[in-house]
Amino acid sequence: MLAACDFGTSSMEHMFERATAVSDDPAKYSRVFSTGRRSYVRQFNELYYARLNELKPHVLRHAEKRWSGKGIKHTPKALNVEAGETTYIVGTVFIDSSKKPSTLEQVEKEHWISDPEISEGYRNGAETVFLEDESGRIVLVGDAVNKSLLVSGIVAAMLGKETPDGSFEVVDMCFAGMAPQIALPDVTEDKYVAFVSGLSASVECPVTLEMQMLAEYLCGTLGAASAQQPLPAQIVQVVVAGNILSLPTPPLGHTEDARANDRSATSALVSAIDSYLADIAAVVPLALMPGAQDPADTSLPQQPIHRSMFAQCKQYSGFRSLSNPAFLEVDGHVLLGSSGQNVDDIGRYVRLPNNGSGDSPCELAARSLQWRHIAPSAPDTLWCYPFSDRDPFILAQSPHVYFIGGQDLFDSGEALGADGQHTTVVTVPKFAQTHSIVLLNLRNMKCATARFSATGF
Amino acid sequence: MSNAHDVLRLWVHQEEQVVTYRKLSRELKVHVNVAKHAMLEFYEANKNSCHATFLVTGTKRPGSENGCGGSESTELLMKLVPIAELASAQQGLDNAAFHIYSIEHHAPNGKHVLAMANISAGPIRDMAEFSAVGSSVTRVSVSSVSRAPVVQLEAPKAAKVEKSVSSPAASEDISIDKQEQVEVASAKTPAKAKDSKSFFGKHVAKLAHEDRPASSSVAKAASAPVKVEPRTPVESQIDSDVDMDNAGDPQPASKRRVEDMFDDDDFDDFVEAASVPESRSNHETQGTVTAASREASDVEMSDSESRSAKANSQDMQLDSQTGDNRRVRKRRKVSKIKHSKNKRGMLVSQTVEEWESYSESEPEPAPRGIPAKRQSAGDSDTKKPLGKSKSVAPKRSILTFFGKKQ
Repeated sequence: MLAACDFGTSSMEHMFERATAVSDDPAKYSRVFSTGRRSYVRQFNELYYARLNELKPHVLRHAEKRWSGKGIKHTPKALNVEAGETTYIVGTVFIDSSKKPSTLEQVEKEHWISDPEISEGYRNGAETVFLEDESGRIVLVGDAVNKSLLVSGIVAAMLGKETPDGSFEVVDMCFAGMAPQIALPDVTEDKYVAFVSGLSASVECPVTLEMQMLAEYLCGTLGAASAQQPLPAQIVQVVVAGNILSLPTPPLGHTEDARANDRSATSALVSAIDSYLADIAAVVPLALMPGAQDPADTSLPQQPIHRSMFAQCKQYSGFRSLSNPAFLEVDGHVLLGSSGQNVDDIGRYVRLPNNGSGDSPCELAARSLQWRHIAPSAPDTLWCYPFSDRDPFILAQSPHVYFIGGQDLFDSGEALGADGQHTTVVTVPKFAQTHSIVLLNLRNMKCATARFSATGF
Repeated sequence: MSNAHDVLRLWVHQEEQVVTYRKLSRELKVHVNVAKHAMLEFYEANKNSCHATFLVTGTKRPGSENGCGGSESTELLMKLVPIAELASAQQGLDNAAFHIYSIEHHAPNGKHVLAMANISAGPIRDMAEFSAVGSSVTRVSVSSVSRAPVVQLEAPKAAKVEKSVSSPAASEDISIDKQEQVEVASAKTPAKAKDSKSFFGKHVAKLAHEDRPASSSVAKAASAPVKVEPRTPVESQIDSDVDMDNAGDPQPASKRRVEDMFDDDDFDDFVEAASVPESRSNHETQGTVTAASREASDVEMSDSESRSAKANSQDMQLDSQTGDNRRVRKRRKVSKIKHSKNKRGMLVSQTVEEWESYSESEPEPAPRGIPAKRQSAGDSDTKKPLGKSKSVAPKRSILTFFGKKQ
């Protein structure tokens, strides 16, 4: 049995040359999700206004293409709809639900320290759906509203007519559609991008055995010589999509108690994870994105974790600290990624019970590409920075790959646009729970997973 | 290979360590696959006396039950199993292969044992040359930007440090160590630098917040054409004053300095607390000796005070004009007797303690409130004059308790 142990004596000491890929200039996409000098003395209406102004032309174009041929007219202002006339209006969807978290109630209760409680779903109670534009808001009713996935903050066109009670009965709806996309480059050889998410290194166990196996695999020491070792040599980029750390929750009153503020364990954890990631950064380009559990901003977009936290990783040329969400390019392929908070919040707008059709995280992410907005629930139910002049979550171009970290399961799908856009959507499972990573082949845009396990001990 | 067996025999049988292939590869400085082969040979020769852990790799067929579910896609499985489960682990896998992962004296009782063994093997990046896959990144030199100003300020000592910092081959640790040495060296000479350069003279002790050794080098580096980054408010004040003096227009700077000293009560209090013990004891003695009464009225006292204050300020101005930068003004607590009339029209004397500013060049004031018997016991010829009189230099003798010496 042991004779089957594969070493390939003749190639026992062979070193496979690692494939390389051309990455984007770090400054190319660094400003997309940058908050710059922050000011919190502004309200979110400016963000909504910028969103509506930017997406409305695209929504109108799609609506005209879809409905104008039927002689249906557009009503510029929502409050000007006439009774009995079929028309379509464009605005921002707002869902007023009793299940949505209320900031005022949380402040009153004062029982949360860092993050507020997140409810399971926002649409399983009494709710009212509005469509709001510059003139005002109108109530949306109808089966199309009840059966469709609507999220607060998406800009949509609603086709219907006004009811006697002043509501707007919706029969159809359309959105901005996918953004333009650059042509997919031709790749002749197999090159893989490895996505990892949810390492969740903890103070009790900073580096697990599975994490060590992952590092050994990516570095090319793990695996049989001829069977598995050629594959790591084809990995040209490793992306860690959020939740690198799992920091302990600070105790109540920690701001006043110096003993509770002892950060020595946390600093040791950061040092350990930095050393671990440096093993990977030393052999392959490594990109880090912050997640909900990482020491970064609570609100989106999370700014890149400062490089000084990774003193050993930053010694290598391929190390990059990205924002969340973030764009990056690998050999001409445009990748857009997030650590999962945006898709998780969209998922809370899914009505329960879930029939399992069209509501998986992968499909929700694909739906957001159709909305041309990857975080429409921000700032209503997803904390975000109060941008005033722009909405950074609006996609100016559709990526070739859209990956979402911090998910329970691996899944992959496609988002197809009306103009031939094609985006591969990938959900990356939490490594701490599944011990799996995702390998995306840039040649054929197919995904595979690699799972590391240790049993019998 | 015999060397590998010797090492394994020592580690596994004698020291009962958990030996992973990385640890052996690093120890013998051989390729990881060579180390795996050596471990396998050793295990086959010593099956009865040791335990082995194997890594099984293979591809799970699409559609079969897998842990991460979701979509049908190829799953590459890498599984660590003890020797007892080696056969069963390969079932259901395509392209199955395995290699030895570790050898131990007995079966590990938990995954953490293997994890600790990997940690003891050291970081993977240190054995990159023994890996089966090359690297596509390079190591860049990281310079610590925040430490650069410190290096620049310490001009005479920084020559060597700057060379090490600018050298691309120098490691960050070495440059950091040298900078720390420079800082330590500068920490040894804070007192002298402050005494020689201190604006308020040598009697000023080290301020509470001036505990950063690098700040002492600020004074030394004043000649260097580098703008000093102030570390403390006081230091910044000192440095700005020095720079202003060096600018060649001492009069306005000195005048501003004088005004600041009068305004800065807190600093004066601190300076007063930092004075030499002798002067402090004198001040305390003067403060505790309460005057029975003053011969002059309040108006006369106030006049004399104002006159003395004007004289003081005039003196200060004269001194400043002469370019003396070592003007020190201190404050002292003195007891004064104020006379007033109460509601019944009776003359009431009240002893109050006040702070008054004085210069070091002024003579010690006559101790007010000296009892009459003391006065009579003393030299009657030397009458205590009213108000303050200027003397050349303050006397530190104990005889100052009993009167001024002409």
